[in-house]
Amino acid sequence: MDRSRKLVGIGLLMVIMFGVGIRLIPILGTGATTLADLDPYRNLRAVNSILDSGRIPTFDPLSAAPNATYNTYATSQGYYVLGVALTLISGLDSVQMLAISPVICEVALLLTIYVFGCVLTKHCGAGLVAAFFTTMMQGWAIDMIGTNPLAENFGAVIFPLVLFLFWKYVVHKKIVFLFFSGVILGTALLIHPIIYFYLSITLFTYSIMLCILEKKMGGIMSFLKVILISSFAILIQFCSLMDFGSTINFTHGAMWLTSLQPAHYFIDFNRLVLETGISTLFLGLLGIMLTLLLRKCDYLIVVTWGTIMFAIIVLSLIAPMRSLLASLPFGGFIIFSHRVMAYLSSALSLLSGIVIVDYLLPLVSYITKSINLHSSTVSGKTALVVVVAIVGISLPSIQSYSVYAINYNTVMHYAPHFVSLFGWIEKNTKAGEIFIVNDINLGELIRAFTKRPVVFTVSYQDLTTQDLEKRMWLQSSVFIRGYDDKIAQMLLHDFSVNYIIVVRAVFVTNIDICQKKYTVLPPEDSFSLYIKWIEEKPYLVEVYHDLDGQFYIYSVDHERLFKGEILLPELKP
Amino acid sequence: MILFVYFLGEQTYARFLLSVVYVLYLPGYSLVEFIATFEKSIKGVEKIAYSFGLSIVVVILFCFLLNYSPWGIRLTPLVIGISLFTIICTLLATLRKYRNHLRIS
Repeated sequence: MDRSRKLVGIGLLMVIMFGVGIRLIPILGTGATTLADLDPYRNLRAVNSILDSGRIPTFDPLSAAPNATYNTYATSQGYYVLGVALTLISGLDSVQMLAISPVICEVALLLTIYVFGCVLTKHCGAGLVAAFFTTMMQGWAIDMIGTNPLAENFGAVIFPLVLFLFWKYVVHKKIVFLFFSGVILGTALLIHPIIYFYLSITLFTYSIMLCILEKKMGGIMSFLKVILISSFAILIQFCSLMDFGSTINFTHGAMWLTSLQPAHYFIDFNRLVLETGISTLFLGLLGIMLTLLLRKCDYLIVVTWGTIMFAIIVLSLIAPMRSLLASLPFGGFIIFSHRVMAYLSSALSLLSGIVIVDYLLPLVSYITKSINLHSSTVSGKTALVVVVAIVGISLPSIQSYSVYAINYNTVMHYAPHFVSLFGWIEKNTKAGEIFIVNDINLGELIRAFTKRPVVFTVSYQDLTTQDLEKRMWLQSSVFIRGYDDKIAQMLLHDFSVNYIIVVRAVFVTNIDICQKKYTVLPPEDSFSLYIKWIEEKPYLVEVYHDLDGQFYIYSVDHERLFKGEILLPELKP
Repeated sequence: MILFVYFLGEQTYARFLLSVVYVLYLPGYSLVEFIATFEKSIKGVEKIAYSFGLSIVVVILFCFLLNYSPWGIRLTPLVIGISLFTIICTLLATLRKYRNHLRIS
């Protein structure tokens, strides 16, 4: 092995160790004993259900109460079975296995990006730089592929791999690459439909670009072939979908979530800069411009990838477009633009690697040669200076990323605060009794820990219901002052709600979902007034509150509820 | 892997690391090695990336098969299935490499 290959090998090892180390922070901080977010809990429930029964679950009796739903486990089944395979064979607990899975995927992601960069530029340095930038994700990107056990962990690896294989097919015309690309693309659908959707539009646009820039009309045929090969997965997915209306319901729910203020589920310009980092964003955009200007068609695949991700962000920012998108079956994947961050970061990292190695290094070499320095000594020094400069520029990102990973611990510690609440529910209520809670995030935890149905949460299974607006009216009219109490009573009866939970900690960030905004932070002492308002309702009976007054549980007396019919005013996202 | 799963300790670091390689690398790697005997352009570091991607494909599809089979997604059918697939692909790859070697020599 020559010296440069040895150096690249050591560099890659260091990058992998760095990426793995930083992703281990939240796991070491919490001991991988709890999973606190919405989707990880759903994944955990699915994995545990398969471990118990040996079958992929279809019906979820806990979500969309009181009727339950087929939507919860209709997608991502590929991810669930992968989690089960790893859990069974490793002998670990399912929580531990899911918690550690982002770290495993990180290694695969870095290797894939490295290979992509190396082969595309025929220079290992580009792969190494791209892998280095990939380790430094923040915000939604790290939420989805770094710290949370989500389908995106695997999706982030599969995404560049499918594009790489498709590019190999376009360049080498070897059928094996087309086959690999199609099969892995199909599996992407089974892991998470959104990955398939993003990949398909990227591949389609790439094919069109090939037709326009390179006059390769076969590009469209290649795209059709790859979609045809992946169709085995479309068949499997549609066979497992029990309710075909769920796709359009998802889009409807997505539009509602993005209309909440302050908005969390789409990316604006400030957030884009904050999460991708100025250096990566600048280099990525420079890479797109240089590739298009210099017509470097080999890099077109990465340019298309980055451009499509940007285009989705821009589309989601145009508010009037959302109503149009909401009428399309997969429009929700565009409305939820935060989903692209997991893939945009990798695209920008690759583009950064290309810019540094293919454009910047030759430029620096040319400048040093033109001022008559010894080229043999200069090339080594130049490379060293560039490497130091990259690390220097990236230091703020590394630092903020580490802080982000450490902060995530607090999210992971969220669940244990409610142990006594969960304990009371398990001891004092029956299995089928239905709850609503003023913290829509806590609703998912109540489901997971106590196996009790909760009417409304921000989980997608609760948003993909036909009667979403009615559920929103229930949530707002029960917990927010100023609504007609008869509406609250009518809906409590309609949804057969047995218990209402008020959590003090989230009272300050309570959400008025009908008004599409979080309620303004009130002064701390107003909580007593709020509880007094709740307790004045004649149909509510306080059954429990903890010693610290952090949460209150009220049972609903159905005999005293108003049972008439009130026409609910129409809500628009 | 079978030794670890059935005879040595329930939860060990060695078993964990082996299981990750066993599920997410070996099935794909054996398939890539077999296909590489036909297609010479598959080489070098690319094999690592393909192995991970194809392992995911193999394991997911096999789990779907098990889901609709009488056995269900359980440890023993899973270990047997993945092992059989890996061994068969490895044997086929070795045989083809040996035949190619004989042809050249």
